[in-house]
Amino acid sequence: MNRLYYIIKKEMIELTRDIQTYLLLIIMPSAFILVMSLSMQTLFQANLDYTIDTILVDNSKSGESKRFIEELRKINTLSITETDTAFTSEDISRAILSGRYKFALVINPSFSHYIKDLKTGPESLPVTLHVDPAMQSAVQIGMTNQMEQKLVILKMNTFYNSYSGVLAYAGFSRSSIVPPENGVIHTVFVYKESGESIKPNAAQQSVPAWLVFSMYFIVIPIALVFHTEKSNGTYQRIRSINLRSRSIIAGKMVSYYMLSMIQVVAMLLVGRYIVPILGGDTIQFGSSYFSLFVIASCTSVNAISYGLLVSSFSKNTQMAGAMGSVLVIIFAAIGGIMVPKFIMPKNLQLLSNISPLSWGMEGFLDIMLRKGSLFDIIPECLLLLGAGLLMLCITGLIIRKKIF
Amino acid sequence: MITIERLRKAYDDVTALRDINLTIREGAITGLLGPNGAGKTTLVSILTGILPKSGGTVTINGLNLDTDLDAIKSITSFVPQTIALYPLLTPRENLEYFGALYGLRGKKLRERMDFAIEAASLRTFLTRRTGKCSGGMQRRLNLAIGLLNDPEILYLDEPTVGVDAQSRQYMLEIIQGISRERRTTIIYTSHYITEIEQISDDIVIIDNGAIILTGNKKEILSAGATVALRAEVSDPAVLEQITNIPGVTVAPDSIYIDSNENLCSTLIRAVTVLSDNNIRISAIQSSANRLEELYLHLTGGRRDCQ
Repeated sequence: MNRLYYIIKKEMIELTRDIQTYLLLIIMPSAFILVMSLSMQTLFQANLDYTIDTILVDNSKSGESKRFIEELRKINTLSITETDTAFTSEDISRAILSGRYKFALVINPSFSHYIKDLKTGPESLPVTLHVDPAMQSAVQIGMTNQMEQKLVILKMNTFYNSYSGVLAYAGFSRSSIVPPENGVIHTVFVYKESGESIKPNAAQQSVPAWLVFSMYFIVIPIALVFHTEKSNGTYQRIRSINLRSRSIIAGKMVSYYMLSMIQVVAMLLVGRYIVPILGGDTIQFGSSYFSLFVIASCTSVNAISYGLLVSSFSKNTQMAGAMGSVLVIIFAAIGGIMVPKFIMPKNLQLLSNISPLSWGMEGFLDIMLRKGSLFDIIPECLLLLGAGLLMLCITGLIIRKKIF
Repeated sequence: MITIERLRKAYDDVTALRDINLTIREGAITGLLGPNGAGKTTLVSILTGILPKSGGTVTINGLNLDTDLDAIKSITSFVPQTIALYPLLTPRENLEYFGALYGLRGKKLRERMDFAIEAASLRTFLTRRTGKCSGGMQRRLNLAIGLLNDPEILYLDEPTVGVDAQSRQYMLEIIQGISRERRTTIIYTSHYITEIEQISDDIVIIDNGAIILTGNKKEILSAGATVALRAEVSDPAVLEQITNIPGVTVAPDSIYIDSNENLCSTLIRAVTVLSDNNIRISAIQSSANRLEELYLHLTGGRRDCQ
């Protein structure tokens, strides 16, 4: 225990005096969380607060088209610039290709007829939407759906106004015919436990993913220390002392575990207190601090074991840094950190099950978003600890076999 | 005492040590000399338990390297060629850390740290970060760490590499002091032949994985030594008198007397003959083997050492 105490003490002194470690493991990931939470906010939240510059050409010039334009102006994300009818398709192409406008909405002459006559279908092409090909499909689909909704409401309102007497006599009210502005579908989030609900937001959904991602970059300082000890002879000196390699590994594990937990706390605090100051959503820590501590600990153990394995396997710091980082990015990509797993191809989804980053992220999401309990994260914890133990055993074998 | 019998070390296709037989005296400083790649570091690495051997037997102070490695490690200490320290730690923290790894604790740890600090004169540098200390200071700390466990056997692998002449001399004095005061067996490898010549009691020259010379330094250096009397002897009768003295060889302008146990009496007899015949002695010169010449001769003139 005396030796372990001094090994931990030495590692902690080195870590606290190494400003680069702070930068790499605390400052940079915290800044990363901050940037990702703020930049991805709009992708996760229901009410988008960005605006898309849109040209509108009204070739119908009817009362219906004017009402439609009024409704479109109520969409916050559309910044509409209305032009005169002399605006040709070439002008539209030029405006979009200039990069200033993302959409150009042309209300065609058939628009009024389409709205007033229930029998007229979309083949009459009442509206044409020109789109910048660089526009993300998800945003384009979202905007198109909102325009479609305005169109349907306008058409159904016109229909009801035309036949209100008959419809009222038949027992139909306006609300039963015209869909509501805020939609018909009522969304209910499903949590693992009942009680006060956690509203999903950008920070809540992205912080756990990027937190787990950042935790695995502990491979870099571990590799740096490991290979410095190897090259400057300290490892050789230690091998000449009557000391088991497991004591050294244990000392490093405990020290880096403490560092990793400081990293987790720093990143969660950034998500909780700094992101909201800069206009982002705040995060909630979920159902149980203890469960959060447990999943963070298991992820830490796995990340440190990974760092030790890569360090012992690689020939030098450069190789360890490059290999360790690239593998983390690959595991993050297949583990659903960068792209949601459900949109991946089936084979890749199966592959994601072997990513420790995926286990860690799901564990964090269970606690922070799905209101899960300690019981819910047991599978993830067992996987993380089991894989960590396996990596440590391989590390021990490599250290024993290798000649320094 | 270290006894090495038929020690062999082979890597995949390279034989680093070839059936080495060697005895290292207890309490002596043994200088291990050889060109780069001769096998010095491999030999030391095997003796310290860092490298496994391929064959042969090694006994260190009565302990077998194969079966008593832990016990051997507890009575030995190794100072690597590189500065094996943690630059972000202070010298005191480095000493404390390695002392703890040697299994020292509490009062014993403090005592051994104090001894190492005094032995290497580190007192005034203890609180500065090691990485900011001078090269000479770091070398002294490197050595001091090797003294923490009060080793019976101390392996020093080129401990003065990269330090200036004053620091080197100071370190050699420290090492000689340790040997003298604590009777520590020291195995010292170095590129500097003058260092080996200065501090060693015994010398081992190793080349191509084999020992090519081993023995007591004084014996090695005095073997073949002569005293030369510079004098011109042309009279055949005088020449005959001188050549009849055992241990004397005559050249046209010099008379050589072998440096053995009869040196004094032989010298007196030769000087007496010259004096009786009124032959003037212009100079008396003594010549002994120089280690550098011997080393270059034995290693085929390879100039990997300085």
